[in-house]
Amino acid sequence: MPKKLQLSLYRFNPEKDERPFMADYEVEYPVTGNMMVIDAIRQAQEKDSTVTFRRSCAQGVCGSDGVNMNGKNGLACITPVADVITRGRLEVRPLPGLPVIKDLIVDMKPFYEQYEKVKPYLDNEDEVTTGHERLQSPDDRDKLDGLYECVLCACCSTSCPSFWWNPDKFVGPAALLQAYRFIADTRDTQKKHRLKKLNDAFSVYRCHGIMNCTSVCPKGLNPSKAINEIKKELRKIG
Amino acid sequence: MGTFLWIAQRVSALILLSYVLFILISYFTKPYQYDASLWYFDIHTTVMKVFTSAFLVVMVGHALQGLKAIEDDYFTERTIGMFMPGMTYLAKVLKYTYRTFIGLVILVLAYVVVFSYLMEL
Repeated sequence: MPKKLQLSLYRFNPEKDERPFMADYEVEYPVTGNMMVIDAIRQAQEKDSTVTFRRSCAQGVCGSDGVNMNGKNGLACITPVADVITRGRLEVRPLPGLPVIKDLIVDMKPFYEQYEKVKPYLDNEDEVTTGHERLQSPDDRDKLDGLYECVLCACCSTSCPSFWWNPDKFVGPAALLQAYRFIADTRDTQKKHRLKKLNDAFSVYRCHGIMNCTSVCPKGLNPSKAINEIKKELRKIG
Repeated sequence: MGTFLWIAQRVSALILLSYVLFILISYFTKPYQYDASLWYFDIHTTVMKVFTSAFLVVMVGHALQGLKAIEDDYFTERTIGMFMPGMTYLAKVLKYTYRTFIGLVILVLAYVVVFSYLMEL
């Protein structure tokens, strides 16, 4: 016999609503406890087809269904309701700090603009004359583990107060993780240039190490550690 | 610039800590609580005047960095707009009021230090 879950969804349609509001839906919650948050949202959508949210793979790979669940960011598709429910109630809101387009959908532009700033691609001007790809030792390749797996869901950056206050100046944990992914890559020849671009009062140093990013990352990555590594590298170049 | 500010903040914190520790150790190892004139004499030696003035300059520098961070975070159109939608024009007013207040505090502090302490007028 399924239990009932009180699901409260953030609703806002800028074409109709003057202000955002929370709408309550009663959804069925199986006693097995393995229902994901996205299933609860889908149930609410079956009751009210105007409920709008973004999703794609529903397996924690595409990173498109990042939401705030009872105060903690995460991917709705891989977060069990049991992990976030409080006294039979679950509040789902859009990722904080980004402009809301509609209901649970946010405008990711400020996030992607920071991502673009760090040039998230291998930059190596040396010509390849070997006839094969640029090789790396297994040890050097190991340095990239925990850096390349980011799915750009923005859960980390939007749980960071420094990003809330200065999304245009502070690069944010997700983009900094990617910045370090290329700084640490031995095939990239622009390490110094990348570091110099980050050496201002905001880009990296606005991180005060509160580690919200690490605690919410749905992929179990550690952006806080990557940021500290960037700071270490910055101190080396002075 | 970012690294310079990061290091400056930590170095200034260490200087502040060492001065405070020196004062505390002096307080507990010398009979200042029974002999105020001894405290007056010690704090007015040339060496202590130099160190205390340096401490105050470093303290102002250290504090300014923190105060600037508060300004950057909270006295912006974005933050003011979040708490008071439609009143973002207040951001600039608040920012300059905040700066003026800090400037006045520094001026008062400098006046007290220069005239009452260093020159003993």
